[in-house]
Amino acid sequence: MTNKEFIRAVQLESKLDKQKTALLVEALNASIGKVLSEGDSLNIWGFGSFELKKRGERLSVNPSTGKRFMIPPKLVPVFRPGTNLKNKIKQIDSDEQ
Amino acid sequence: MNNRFLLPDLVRFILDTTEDLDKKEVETFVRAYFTVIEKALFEEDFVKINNLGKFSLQKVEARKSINVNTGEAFEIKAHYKLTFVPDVKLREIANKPFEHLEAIELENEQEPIKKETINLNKPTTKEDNIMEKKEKTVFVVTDKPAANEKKTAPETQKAKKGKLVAWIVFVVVMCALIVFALWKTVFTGPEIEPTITEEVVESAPVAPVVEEVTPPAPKVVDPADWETLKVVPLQKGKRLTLLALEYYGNKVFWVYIYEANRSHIKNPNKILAGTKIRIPKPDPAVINAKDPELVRIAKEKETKYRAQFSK
Repeated sequence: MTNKEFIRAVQLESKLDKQKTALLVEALNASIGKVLSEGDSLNIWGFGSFELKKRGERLSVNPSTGKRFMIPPKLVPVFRPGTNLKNKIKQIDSDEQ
Repeated sequence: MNNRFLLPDLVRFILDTTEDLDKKEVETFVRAYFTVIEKALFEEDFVKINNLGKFSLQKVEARKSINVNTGEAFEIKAHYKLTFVPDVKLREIANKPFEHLEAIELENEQEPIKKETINLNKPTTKEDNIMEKKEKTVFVVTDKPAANEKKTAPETQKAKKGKLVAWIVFVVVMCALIVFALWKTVFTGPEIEPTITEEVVESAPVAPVVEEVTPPAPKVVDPADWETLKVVPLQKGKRLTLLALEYYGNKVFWVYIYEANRSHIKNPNKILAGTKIRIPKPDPAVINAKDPELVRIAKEKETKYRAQFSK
């Protein structure tokens, strides 16, 4: 499902008009970004949570030149599915596809 | 920092961003947003949302594992897991606090020296960045196998019980056999011992073990029982076939030498130099270089062993 199809689907589900839906989707995404950029997490009950994870600094070697680099630490957005969603995924019959 | 926000907070944030929004409308929208993602996950391959990321289900193939506590092997069934790959924009936003940091080239083995970024080899740093991006893009949320077990437990419990009973019976039978064997050796030991000492010393303790291992042959021939002709340490570069040619007149009969020494030769293709090889006294009914029938039987055995050890 592409972004376009997604917005259309949300529009049908929420019964809002198309323009407003597109606007709200943008606003929601921006809000998630804002929450994460401040180091907070967002927990949607039944769905999952968006969190921030720190990846520590590490050494990396360019195999062709042999140069060694110190890669700085970074913060990375992570999504963890909630128990509800997890259980649903687990119940998919793995043979069906 | 480190606040845990919930759905109502999200609604509040959205209301803050844009004016003229109805709170109820936003609430229904937010719920619709997440239900649509959830539904689409099960119906389509992926859900891609610009500026946020891509959700998709990935199949995890069934694999074998071992119960750490009991050492019992079991199979983790094939299942799906949810992956979320954050959009580049979201990643940039999330990494804002560390934005200013760049990869530093290290000059020495020990000392990290800060260099001007201008001095850095541009293409290589780019490559590096791409590499790290690739690495960080995939955040996999795996279903815990423990939970998986729980689900399947009621179905397999009966089977487990049956297995348990079978195991107990097996163990009891084995114990009985061992006790019986011990008892036999204790009571009949003195009678057997003299006969063994009469035979060649080297082969005697080995023989019973080998007998058990020998696969069923058309004619039960066990060279391990034969009398020893000679015991020779295998020289470097020599093979069993050469010994067979020397003592039996035909290379093919090496199989009998191997069978006689099976207790300490694991692979006839790889024998350590200096291994003591017991050459059994040839039984003319089995080893005779002039009898084509016997040579044929030996050849059959040879092909069997070749197939077994060429793997």
